[in-house]
Amino acid sequence: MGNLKHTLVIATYAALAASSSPVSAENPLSLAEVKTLITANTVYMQNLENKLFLRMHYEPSGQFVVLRDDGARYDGLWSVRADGTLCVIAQGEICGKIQKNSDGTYTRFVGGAPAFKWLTVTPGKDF
Amino acid sequence: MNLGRVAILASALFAFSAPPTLAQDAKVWVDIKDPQELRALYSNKTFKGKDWMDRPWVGHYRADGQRAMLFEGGRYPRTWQVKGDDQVCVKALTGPACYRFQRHRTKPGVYRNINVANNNMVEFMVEDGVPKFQLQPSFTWAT
Repeated sequence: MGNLKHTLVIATYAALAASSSPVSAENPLSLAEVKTLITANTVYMQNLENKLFLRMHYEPSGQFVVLRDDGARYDGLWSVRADGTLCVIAQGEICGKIQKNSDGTYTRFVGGAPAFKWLTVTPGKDF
Repeated sequence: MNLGRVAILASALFAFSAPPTLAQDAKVWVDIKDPQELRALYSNKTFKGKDWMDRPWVGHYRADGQRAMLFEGGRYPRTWQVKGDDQVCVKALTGPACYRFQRHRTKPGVYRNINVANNNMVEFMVEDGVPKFQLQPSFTWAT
């Protein structure tokens, strides 16, 4: 039963993530747009490199917590620069722009390259 | 198909996935409750792991409490010190944090730390030795 549930979750997210991502952030979100989108909310996303799904909660205090679908949890700090660049600090600092896609999802860039597809954003923290 | 509703349903199922039980954990991991073992774990050792994005990081820990964290081509200073019998506290970019440690029962060199503030766990490998490094600025502990 556990495996079936896991398979359903992965299949659903994979269907959502299947649409292509932009190569570069041509119309990135502004500082205000990024803050409004993520502050106190949970983002459900897929890592475009390793295909892992994860959820990330951005606390108003500037801390984040991440839960990956393999059960691993991580924490660190997040901030948004004046130009809308989102930075997270854990082992080191990772920064990049956010762009809204035509299908309602978002692409999170890291170092100028698409790194995550943000599938949904929900209020609060549910994990 | 309403993709948003499907995603919410899938998220809910994901949230209810059962984590490993403590009994299962105890079969695999052994708590470290000896400050000497913790000091030895951090003295002139190299830690290797992966972050939340699955990107590799390397931490070099000197016996004097200094640490160099290497990640994505950057170098980040950190300091460490043993606290009590079962914790190591680290100062880093993300601020101070204290961790408990466990070693794997059957895999030599495999450890995990548990953040005492939120119980988040990170698994990593430990190897002997560190390269020479000098980091400025660094962190100091209040006395």
